[in-house]
Amino acid sequence: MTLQFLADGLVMGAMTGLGAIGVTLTYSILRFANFTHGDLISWGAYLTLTLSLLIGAALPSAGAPIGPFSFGWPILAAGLAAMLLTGLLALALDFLLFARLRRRGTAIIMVIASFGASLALRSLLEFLYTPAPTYFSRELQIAIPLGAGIRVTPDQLCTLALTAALVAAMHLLLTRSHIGRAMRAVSENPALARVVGINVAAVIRTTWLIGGALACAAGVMLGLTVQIRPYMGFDLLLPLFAAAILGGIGSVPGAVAGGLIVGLAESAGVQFIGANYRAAIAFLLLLLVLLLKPTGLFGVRP
Amino acid sequence: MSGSALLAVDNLVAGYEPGVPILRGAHLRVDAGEIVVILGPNGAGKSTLVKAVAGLVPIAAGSITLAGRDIAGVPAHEIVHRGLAFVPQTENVFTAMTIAENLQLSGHVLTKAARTRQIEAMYVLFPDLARQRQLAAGRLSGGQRQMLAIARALMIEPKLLMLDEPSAGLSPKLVGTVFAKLTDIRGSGVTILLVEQNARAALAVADRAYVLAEGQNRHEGPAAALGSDPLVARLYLGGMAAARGAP
Amino acid sequence: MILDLVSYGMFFLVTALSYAIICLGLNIQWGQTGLFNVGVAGFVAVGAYTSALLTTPETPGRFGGFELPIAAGWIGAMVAAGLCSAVVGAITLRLRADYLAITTFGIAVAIQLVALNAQGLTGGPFGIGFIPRPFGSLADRPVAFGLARLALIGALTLAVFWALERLARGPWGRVLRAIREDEAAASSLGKNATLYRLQAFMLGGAVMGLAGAVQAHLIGFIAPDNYVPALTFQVWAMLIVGGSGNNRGAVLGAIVVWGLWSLSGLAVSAFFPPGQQARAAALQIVAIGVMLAVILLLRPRGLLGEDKTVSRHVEGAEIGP
Repeated sequence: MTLQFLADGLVMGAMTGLGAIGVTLTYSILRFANFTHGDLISWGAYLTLTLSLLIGAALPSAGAPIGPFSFGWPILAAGLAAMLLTGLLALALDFLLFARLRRRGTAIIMVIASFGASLALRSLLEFLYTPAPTYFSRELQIAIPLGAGIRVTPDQLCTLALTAALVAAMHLLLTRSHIGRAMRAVSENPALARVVGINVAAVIRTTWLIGGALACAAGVMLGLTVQIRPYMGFDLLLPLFAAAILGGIGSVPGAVAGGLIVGLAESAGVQFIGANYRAAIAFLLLLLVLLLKPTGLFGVRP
Repeated sequence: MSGSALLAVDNLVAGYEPGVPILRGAHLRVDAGEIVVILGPNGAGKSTLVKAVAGLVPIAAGSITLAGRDIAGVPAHEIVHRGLAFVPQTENVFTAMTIAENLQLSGHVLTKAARTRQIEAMYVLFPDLARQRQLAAGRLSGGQRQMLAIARALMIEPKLLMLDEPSAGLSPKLVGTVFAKLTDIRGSGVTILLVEQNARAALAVADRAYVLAEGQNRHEGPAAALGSDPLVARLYLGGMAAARGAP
Repeated sequence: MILDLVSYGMFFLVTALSYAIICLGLNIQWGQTGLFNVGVAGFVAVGAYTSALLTTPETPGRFGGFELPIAAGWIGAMVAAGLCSAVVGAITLRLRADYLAITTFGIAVAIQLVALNAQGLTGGPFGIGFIPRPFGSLADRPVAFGLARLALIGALTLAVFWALERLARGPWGRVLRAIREDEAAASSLGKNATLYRLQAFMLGGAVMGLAGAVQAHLIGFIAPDNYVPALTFQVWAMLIVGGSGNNRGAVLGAIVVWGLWSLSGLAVSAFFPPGQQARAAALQIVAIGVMLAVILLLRPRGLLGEDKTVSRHVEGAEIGP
């Protein structure tokens, strides 16, 4: 058994952590388990793919890969645009569905609705793009040996770096900026937030935008390092929930730590029980956390 | 008469659930520079009244004007921007944030310079808070939390400061400190409206008082007169003993 | 042609009723007890596979093949699903509502994983075939076959419905209602809320298992692909459309939603060329998803539901606009 699983686990864990940040933010501020988050990841990947194909068709010469990576400027530009679009998609879901249910219903009705919306979203992807897996590019990546039997591709290293950058940015946002403090305030006590002059509706909108954008980033990285298919995000849902709950709902560092732990546990676990049962590992972790310490590692509230 | 008032509430009908009003035609008036207290038995609707003014309770009928502008139906956060600060009775600070962060949060409408200046002013007014500004608010004692809640409210230099039972859960000494602070705050030009269960302490600092019962006004007048009126005390304040603040 | 229509109609109704039984099971858990089970497909699968393994002939390389009579299979299905629910419930019922949702969702995923991979137990991706069908000897006479099956499933649905209604209106149901409305008061009267919730969860799971077995024997073949979140979602849509908290609503919702599903399936085959059918099937799901969202927005209590579809006990925090 080599140590390769460490590298694989870290890369997967980084992407899971990134998606889990969106889950933990919407969970703590909007107070419901959003089943659509996985599908925002898938939509982010497909939106990026579509936009990059459009750009590639319009500017054929711009598509060359940058340096050792498999992607070129079209995918980068498409990814940024898609982050905005996915954020808007999340906002649209809220406007059409969740906000209205929030006004009169209970949190459980919103979970049911999100479950249904999630199914509709990925079925729509299946319809538009067919269930067949696809890829951002056909460029082959040479894995770089790092020693101790570990090999990583440049794309994977880029994923780690980008995730670290995004996580750092999120941390700064939440601790140093007003909007970040406002988000933390709404997460703790929405009524008091109103009393101190915070526009809670605006904070909610911002939360959806950020959550959607981060989901898109995770989706693009997942599409680059693995593949793109309609179920890619949904298959990540249990690990996302496990990571967010393990880290403690509302904690961004917790979500990232949770993601890394889940990623590493999965890749270590498949060494013993085989790749087929990968999904069960996240579930077992989730069960353990909920039974032993539901507030998670850094959680402030159960 | 309400034209010159800072706050004017007329015929207010309000409640959390439609069709079940807690306030049934309440009214009050607060002039600039006053300390006005709302008294009354439990369930009278005192809290509901200030919460309705703050925009936290749906209003079915009636009017509320602040500095001449109508605020009934205006979203709560908007009302804050118009110069009204509210200190709820419970859960009035963000326990997961530090003292400094609680103050910074409130001051977001100000410019950075004004915010820094205001925070320093708050630390002067509440030296206890200045000593532990990086401490999470959840670790503060009851009295310190109350001070932080008031400091938080004062950050925006409000025209009107409303407090819901500021003495609740505090020792008699702390109650004295809080009310002394309120007098200081009024001295710096802030008008104060407070709801209180502890009639004696409140009437000692207030200018005027209203007595509410069952969602309607029952009595109003200068604080001194109300404090020594045995009929009022017996009917609404649990007797003279209670009115004097005895348990 | 008329015979075909009648045959189709009977098949439609029989399938709708098998879904109705699942809904009745979910109604015990959700409508009466407020337990948010997002893993319905898992319990249905347990019942289906149990019955299949008990009643099919021996297959090399795979467990089971006891060739027991169909009734034994169905009873076995109820027992297995009920036991499974007991274990799941004992571990998870004390979690708050949305964590219960995530956990039951995970359980269904785990069950489907086992069904897909444990080839020695479940036949793996190939599933289990040759499941004996009730009245199979009549299969060459479509009308008689259809009628006999409809009579059987109809009677079964009616029996389950009647039993559950009796239970709901009897002392056990009253305690459940009391626990829903005011758990503290119920506990003070010596009623162990956790135990009652567990019983409700087990009973609901057993009923779902029975429905899974019924469906397995109606088709004659099952595969892991049948027991996916889309199934859970269909059942939830049925219960909500019909009116949760209400056994009649459960049955009506099943028929209505299955009807809409079949209609949309017909529309898909009518409007899309054969090569695109599979793709267009995805559109069916989108349509059902949108329909559920619309129902939740416009008439959350469904067609026959009570005013309060969700007990105050399970309310989450409200946050406003």
